[in-house]
Amino acid sequence: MNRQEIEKLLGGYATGTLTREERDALFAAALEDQQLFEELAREEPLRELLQDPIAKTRLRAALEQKPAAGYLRWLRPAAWAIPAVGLAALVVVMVMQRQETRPVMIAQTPALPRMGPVETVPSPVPQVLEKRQLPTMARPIKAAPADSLALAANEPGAAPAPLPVAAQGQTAGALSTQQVLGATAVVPLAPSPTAPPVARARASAVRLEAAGRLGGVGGFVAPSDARALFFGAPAGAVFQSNLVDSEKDRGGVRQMAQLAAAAKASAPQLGLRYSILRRAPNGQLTPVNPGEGLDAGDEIVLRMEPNDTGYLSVFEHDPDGAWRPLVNTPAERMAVVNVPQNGALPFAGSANKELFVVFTRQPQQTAYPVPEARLDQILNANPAEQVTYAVSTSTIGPAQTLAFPITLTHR
Amino acid sequence: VTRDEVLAQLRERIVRFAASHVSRETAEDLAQEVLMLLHEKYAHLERPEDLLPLSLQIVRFKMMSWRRKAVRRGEYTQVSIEELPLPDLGAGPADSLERKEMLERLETALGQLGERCRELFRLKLEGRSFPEIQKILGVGAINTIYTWDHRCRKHLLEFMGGSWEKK
Repeated sequence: MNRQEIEKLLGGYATGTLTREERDALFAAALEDQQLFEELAREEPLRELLQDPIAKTRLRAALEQKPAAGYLRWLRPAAWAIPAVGLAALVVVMVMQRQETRPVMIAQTPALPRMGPVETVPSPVPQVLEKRQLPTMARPIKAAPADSLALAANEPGAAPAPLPVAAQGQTAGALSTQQVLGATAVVPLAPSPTAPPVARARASAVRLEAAGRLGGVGGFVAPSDARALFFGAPAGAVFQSNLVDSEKDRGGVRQMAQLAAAAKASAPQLGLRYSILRRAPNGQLTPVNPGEGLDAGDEIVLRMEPNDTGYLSVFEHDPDGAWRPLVNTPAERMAVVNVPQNGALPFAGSANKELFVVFTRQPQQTAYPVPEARLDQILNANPAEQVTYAVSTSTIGPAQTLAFPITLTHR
Repeated sequence: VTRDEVLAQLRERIVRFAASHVSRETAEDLAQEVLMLLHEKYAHLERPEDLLPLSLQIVRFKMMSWRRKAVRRGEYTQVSIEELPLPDLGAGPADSLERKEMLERLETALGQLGERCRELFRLKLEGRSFPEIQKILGVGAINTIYTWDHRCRKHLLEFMGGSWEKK
């Protein structure tokens, strides 16, 4: 064998394929040829590997598997790629559709109510005041017989007193019996028809003069803003409730009916009016003027009347500093709620009694921080009605809350 | 050919082969160690077909051991034959790892071969000789089988990166 033929035997050295003759020829040539010897040396790792039966079996198994055809080699990755591409396309389409349908989320800032200028509540006081002549102070007049008046009228220089024309239209109709009785002059309301003309004129003048002085009491009393807000409309003139029956068909009654109707119709501002009632020895409850002191031993009842449906809580400040709830109840609009609902509150000791009222439109989810009074509320005492009006000035209806203290002081 | 003549030729081949990988002095030392081992441990072998593959195996192990020592110690000191332990022909962890990597590479390379080469290599792994393969494949001349095997080996080496072992 020549050199080239022997070199072809190298492939059989590692696998042990060579016959004895082939091996002798290869090794003899390798001993003579350094290049062939080195090639044999390089075959040594393969020969060592193939001497391992496990490796040999593994290689045989790999060789017995027929390799896939060329197009199948392409199809094999495609078998994975096609579903993968389809799945990816499906995901992309779903994401795109979802992005299309999903509304653009933009951080939305809640529109805060614009705190514009506070709407002025029209004052019930007439914008243009009627200029009236001030009533002259009536002198105490002693009642005298008509005869003496007639004599005096005959005296020279005696002139009739000027008649207050402006007061003429509102005198007798607005006067109450008590006011008339309380006047410094007690005059007959109707002059005697038998009196002489001078005496009749003098008596009429006195009557009108007295009536003019008292007319301001029964006329306009400037209502507080809280009261106007409580009724939900600008209040008109406030008339005292001590009108005689014959005068109830006058304007005062009509306006009070209008106010009540307005209060029943709507209450944009949550309001509450209360009065302090003192239990008399005979068991009757009499109102106490706002700010009026109480005596030790008095028993009082707080009469509440809201202008809208809400939730009322009244707390009493205990001597130990805690606030004890007296009432915690829903309250209907214009329905009276007495505090306490049964019995009365004893006003004992020398210390003032402190109460705290909380009235809300919505049920209170969390306890109100008693005794923290609200700032968006108006409290006005109305001595004429012997009640105190408390109205929220908040413009946010559902959040309107009243929270104010009531201090009962000693006389 | 006497045994001494075979060993003399082997020494020359080993020195030249080793010198292409390590220094000349180291190559001579390696060849000396191989011959010492053949003389002391394998004194009963006389034929070249026995001594040559054995010497190739010993040279390979000696060179691998020398490389590991050089890397580990960082020195290239000569060790006397008395101090040098006999080579452990068993596979260590590093050898097992190298063999495993080589097997994987060989599997991959065989998969890239043509059908004829794969069949030829399969028959060789079955222990068939070249004349038997000739008969199985129905080839008229044995030289054709030699040529096919030579080309297939060349292709396989190319797929393996030019060397059976990982460079």
